[in-house]
Parts: sequence; C-alpha cells; structure tokens
Amino acid sequence: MTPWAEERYKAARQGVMDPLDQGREDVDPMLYPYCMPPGMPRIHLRGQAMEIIQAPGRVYLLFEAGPSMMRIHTDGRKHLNNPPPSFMGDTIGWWDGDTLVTETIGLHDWAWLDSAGHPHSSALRVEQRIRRPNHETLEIGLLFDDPKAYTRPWTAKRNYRLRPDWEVLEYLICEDTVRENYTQEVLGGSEGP
Amino acid sequence: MGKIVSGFVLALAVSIFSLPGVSQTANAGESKGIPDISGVWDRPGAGNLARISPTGSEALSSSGGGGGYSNFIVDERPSMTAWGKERYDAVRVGLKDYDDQPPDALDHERYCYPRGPTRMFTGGAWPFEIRQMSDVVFLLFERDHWVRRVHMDGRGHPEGYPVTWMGHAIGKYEQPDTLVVDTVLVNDITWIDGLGHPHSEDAHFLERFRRVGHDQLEYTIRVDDPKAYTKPWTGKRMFELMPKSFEIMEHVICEENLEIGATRNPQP
Repeated sequence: MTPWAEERYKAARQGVMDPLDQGREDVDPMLYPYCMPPGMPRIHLRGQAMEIIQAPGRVYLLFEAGPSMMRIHTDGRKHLNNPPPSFMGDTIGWWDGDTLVTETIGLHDWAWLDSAGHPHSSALRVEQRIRRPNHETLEIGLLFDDPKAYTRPWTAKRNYRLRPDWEVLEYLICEDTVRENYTQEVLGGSEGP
Repeated sequence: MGKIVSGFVLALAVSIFSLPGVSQTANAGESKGIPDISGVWDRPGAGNLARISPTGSEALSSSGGGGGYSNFIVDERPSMTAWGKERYDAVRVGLKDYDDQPPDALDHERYCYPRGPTRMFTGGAWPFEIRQMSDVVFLLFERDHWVRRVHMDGRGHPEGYPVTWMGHAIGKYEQPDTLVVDTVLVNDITWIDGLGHPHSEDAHFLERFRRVGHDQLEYTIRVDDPKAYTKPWTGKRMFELMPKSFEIMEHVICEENLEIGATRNPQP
C-alpha cells in the first residue's frame, strides 16, 4: 500500500488485534448504522447468490446481497466521461474467447475493498475476467489497479458454483435493525411486520 | 469479530449463462408469442434528471408533459374498508388534497425501506428497465437498484413463500402487445403509490405492461385486496421509451445520510 492507503487501513483496523479479523465494525460503511451496499469488488465476498443475465449489448450481474446490480455494457461503448462515483461503478465489457472481460471505474472512495478494511481511491480500476471452466463452475479473476492506494496492481480470484434449482431471494441490508427503529418510532411499537 | 471471508466457493444461481455468440435471451419481437417491451422506460412530466451520454457531450432527458406525480391515474378513487382507511389516514395527517404527498416522517421510505413493487412506478423521474428472458422477465429499477423477477415458466405462486418487499411475481403474455404480471405476498409496510394507499399482505396485484406505440408503454395496475378495499380498483401510468444512449444510473437509498455524517435512520 501507499502511505495514503496505509493511513486509511490503520484507521479501519485500529484496535483489531488478529490480522485475520474484519475491520472495525463501527466504521464499516456496510454495517449498521450506515448500511451501505458492499459495492464493487466487495460484493464478491458476500457469500450470497449471484445471477447473470445476458441481453443484447449488456450483461447484468444481479447480486442477492443488498440487493446490488452491475450493468456491464458490451455494445462497444466507452466509459462515461467522469462518471459520478457510485458503489458498483461504471462497467464496460468485451469477450476474449470464452472469457468475459470487464473494466470498472468510477467507484466511491469511502467504500471498502474488502471486509478487512482495505481502502481504495476513486481512481481504482477493477478488471474482472469471468470464465466457465466447466458446467458447474464460474471463475472470476480480479485485478485491482489503483496507483493512489497501491504501489502496484494486485490480483484475486473467486469461484462460484452453479445452483440450477436455487432462486435468488430478497436480502435487504440492515433490515432487522431498520425495522426495529421504524416500528418503535412510527408505529409506536404496537405493530410491526 | 468474525473472520475474513476468503477462498470459499460461493453459490451461484444462474438464470442464464452461455458462451459468447450464443444468446439465450428471449427473441422478443423476433418470433411469435413474445411482445417486445424491452428497453429503458421513463415517465414524462416528472422532471427528469439530466443524464450524461456515453460521450459526455450531451445531456439527455425525457420529454415534459403532464401526469400525476405520486399517484396512478384512476377513473374512480379507491374505496377503502375501515381497516384501509385507518392506515391511509394515519400517514396523511394534515393533508387536504387527494394529490398531496404524505409527510416524510410518516413515510417508511425515509427509514430506508424499499418502496414496494407498485409504488416503484410512481413519483419522480425514476426510470426502469425491462429485460425479457425465455423464462423470466426482469424489471430493473434505478431507484435503489431494485430488481423484480417475473417468472414466465408457468409456475404458480409457491406454498410457503415468504412475504417480501417486492412480492412474488408470475407472468404471461397476452397477444399482441401485453405482459401481464400477477404479484402477491408483498410486505404490508409498503404503499401501493406515493399517496400512501395501503395494502394488506393478502393483496393481489395484477399489472399490465402494454406497448401502445413504439415509444409508449401503458402500465395498468389492478388492486384486489378485500381487507383494505371494498372492491378492486385500477390505476394507470404512461411511460416513454428512452434512447439507447440513456443510462440508468446508480441510486442507493439513504446514501446521503452517510455522506453528511448521519446514520441510516434519520429521526422523524
């Protein structure tokens, strides 16, 4: 990491003793009371289902967690000029043989890259290489290129398993806590879902 | 604190995934039986947000026009039961006109709850995208990036399916130009529209998406909820097809709370 990133990483892990533990829960933007979406690429660490739709000129990754969605434009367009920062970013993609290659820019710089609290800047560029080595397996190779936060690009990999009989259900971040507050404050504690 | 998740195999429920060059999307409009309603649709007259074209050189917006803001256009105002009226009045304290919007403090959305499947079609310039697959139609909303899945494979509503924010939806096509969507099991915290019309968990929503012209989509909703309404009622809204260069942006509900240092649960 660069000094800039080291400082943010330390702040996210102040008091955390075990290097394998998550970052501090009280400053994790995904946890209560912030309840923000995991964002890209942290969405791949959620342990929940993902659904892929292929449509003309686009591929959609629909994530149960959040829920979240990534639109991948495959119609040859370039990135938006100075896209407004977002959780899932601005993503374009193209095919390289049997691999869908995607490039994402325009990510919020206060979201975490993973649950450890690794930071990234708004200059982060994430490349995904999505391929299906066999019928039941999806392999996603990730490349993180962020010169402001990391002295060199680095890679990671995630494997997914096909679940043909599964249905993606609804998952709303922080729903239990939000419900409790709404029930108390608006419904007067007398009624709730 | 928990451990960092690393190296595990995540479950992937794949609706459709194929090798390049082999499209498995429904041949909407290319073969008989599937009306083509795919595309990005937006609402005329709701004061659209400026959009940035892919080249960054132009701002795109939908056209102006009339139309209600928070409500569906109805021929006859919904007739509520005592149960329904009590809940309706509770969120409209102090309001005089039918079209007035309930105060934020009584709106579950201010607590960062989802709008629900039908209110998504009311209020403000919030485009949505329809993508038709062979066995499912996806309604992809800009507002809080919600997804509604409409199962088109002939299944019914399953026994024991939980109540959710968007409900369980099944659909079929009616020739020559209409998608019919049947939705049940919607969380009764949500409102049917932006005016605060309530519904029970037993509500049955029948929505019709009909392409009345190349660039026009007519959305009709029929609400059948004997607990909340003395008889079924219908409402309508029109949507306009956006050009291919129109991009649906990201919207995360309550994001501004984090940006200004507040938490996700604002005080009323």
